[in-house]
Amino acid sequence: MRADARTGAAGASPCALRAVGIVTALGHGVEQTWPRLLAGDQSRFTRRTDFVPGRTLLVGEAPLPLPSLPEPLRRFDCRNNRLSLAAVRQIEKTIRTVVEQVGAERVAVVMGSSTSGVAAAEQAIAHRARTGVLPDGFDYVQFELGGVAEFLARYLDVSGPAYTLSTACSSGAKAVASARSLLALGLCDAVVTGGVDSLCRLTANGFSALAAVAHDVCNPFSLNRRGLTLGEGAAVFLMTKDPGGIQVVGVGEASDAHHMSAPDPDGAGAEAAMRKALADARALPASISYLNLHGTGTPLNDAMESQAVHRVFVGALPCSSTKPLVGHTLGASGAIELAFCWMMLSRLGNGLLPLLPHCWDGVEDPGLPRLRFTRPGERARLDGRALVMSNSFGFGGNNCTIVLGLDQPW
Amino acid sequence: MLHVAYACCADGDVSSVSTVFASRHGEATSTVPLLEALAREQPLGAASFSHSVHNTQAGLFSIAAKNHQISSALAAGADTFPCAFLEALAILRRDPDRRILLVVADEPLHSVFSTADGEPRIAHGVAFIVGRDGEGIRTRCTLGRRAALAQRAPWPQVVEFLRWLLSDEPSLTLGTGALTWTWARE
Repeated sequence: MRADARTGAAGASPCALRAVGIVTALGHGVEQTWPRLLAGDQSRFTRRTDFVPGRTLLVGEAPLPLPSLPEPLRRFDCRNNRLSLAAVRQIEKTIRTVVEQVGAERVAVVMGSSTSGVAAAEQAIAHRARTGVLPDGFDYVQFELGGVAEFLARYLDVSGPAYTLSTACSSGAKAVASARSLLALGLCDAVVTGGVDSLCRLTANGFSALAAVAHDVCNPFSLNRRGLTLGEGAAVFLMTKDPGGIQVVGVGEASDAHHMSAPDPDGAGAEAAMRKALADARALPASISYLNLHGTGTPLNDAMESQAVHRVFVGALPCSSTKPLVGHTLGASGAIELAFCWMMLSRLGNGLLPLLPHCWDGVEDPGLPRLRFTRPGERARLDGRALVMSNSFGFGGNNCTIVLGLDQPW
Repeated sequence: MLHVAYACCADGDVSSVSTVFASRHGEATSTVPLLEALAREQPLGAASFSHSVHNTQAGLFSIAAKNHQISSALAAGADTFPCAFLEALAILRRDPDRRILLVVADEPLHSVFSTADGEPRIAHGVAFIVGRDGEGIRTRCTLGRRAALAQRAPWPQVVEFLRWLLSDEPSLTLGTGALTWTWARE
């Protein structure tokens, strides 16, 4: 097992997403999630009064039940790890078969998360404020970012490299990008990769302090947009070097170098990420069939993103934001939305690709370049390679775009 | 982190390098006051929330240095440094002609928390420029399996790596679990 720092050749090697497990407000698993996603089901948000004092918050909560952790891993027990476990359990059989084939030391775990188990730390600190001590069930590993990957590595009994990327809202996408690179470097033969974040008071109060949270469901790109809707969830992929099937064919990353919590209004960083992803995929803008927008519904993101997308695709590309269905799942969003793209591609049949709907009030913002939002029930007719793209833009101006490809026939 | 990051870069580098910022605990210690405020049902400050993300130092560096390149931030428990080294290789793979600024730092974890492993509670920050070629110390990194329980140096792994780089020892093996990283001079 050698990592040769000198083989930097950016040649394309296969990078298959063999399977995906997912948990969001839309439910558990691909079979349950897909019809609700396609139908634009916005009925699954819940209202919580326990996050922000004096405020009722609409959130995209993952439905119960969530699995409990096995006894030997009990110190990792927190909602965040239960979410990732719920996703992993859906594809566990496939993962373990591959682990058996390639060897445990050849399977890496690269996850993205921004919250980790901070909700557990919130409760622990509140307990300590009342009693003077931390509660028995709390362990720092629940809060620690490294714990996200470590937990899954221990659960799956794999001993390749295990680490957690944490770049705010691009975390899940960055994890997939790095997993692909580790495979290409020959440092492993398979990667369990994705993202997970859980609802917590820190992000609810933090985004409220930024006046970035909408009262109702987020309304991306609308003239009436007022902010984001918080969500939680997990998407975990099994990534291998197999040719064929749904592949990660392009990655593009760039930094805004502008502001910690506001995007560069010009969208140059977002544009750079998209262009680099296209170049990496050796694709022209016209060959992308669909773009899953970051589309948080904040005035600033949507203004920025519409300009960047317009410059790259000139308003011809069917696109949508899926955050009005599951909320902004923060560190998990890059992986969850990539999983939505994966589901689309997996349902490509007879040259027709079902597109994810854009759920909004339909009121265009005349100040923004017009984008070509998908219509309900829309399908793209295509032949040859199907390419879809997903954008993720995080605090600190951290931008990551991923392109998935599928050669027909499936 | 920012201090060592800037100290490591030659003038032209700051805006042209890709970056990896790695920290086991990241902003955990500075998040404790935020969690205490939440326990008292007090509102958070927008700036302190924006600066509580793990990639805060990475973001601040990119803003100060006008750096638009690829940027990563990560954590991996006790093996944060060696995993960060792999992340640097991963980014080199994606952007092979550009050098990487790899910054690894931690301050001692807030006393309210403790880790299960007895990590050395030493504030530290080390930055490296990593590239495919050019001047500097040439190494080859290999992953392996731990044969027996290894003696750990009583200082952080990144500091042990720095000590080794400045020594004349031919190789170094790090890693706190079943997985090992071995660097050999070339």
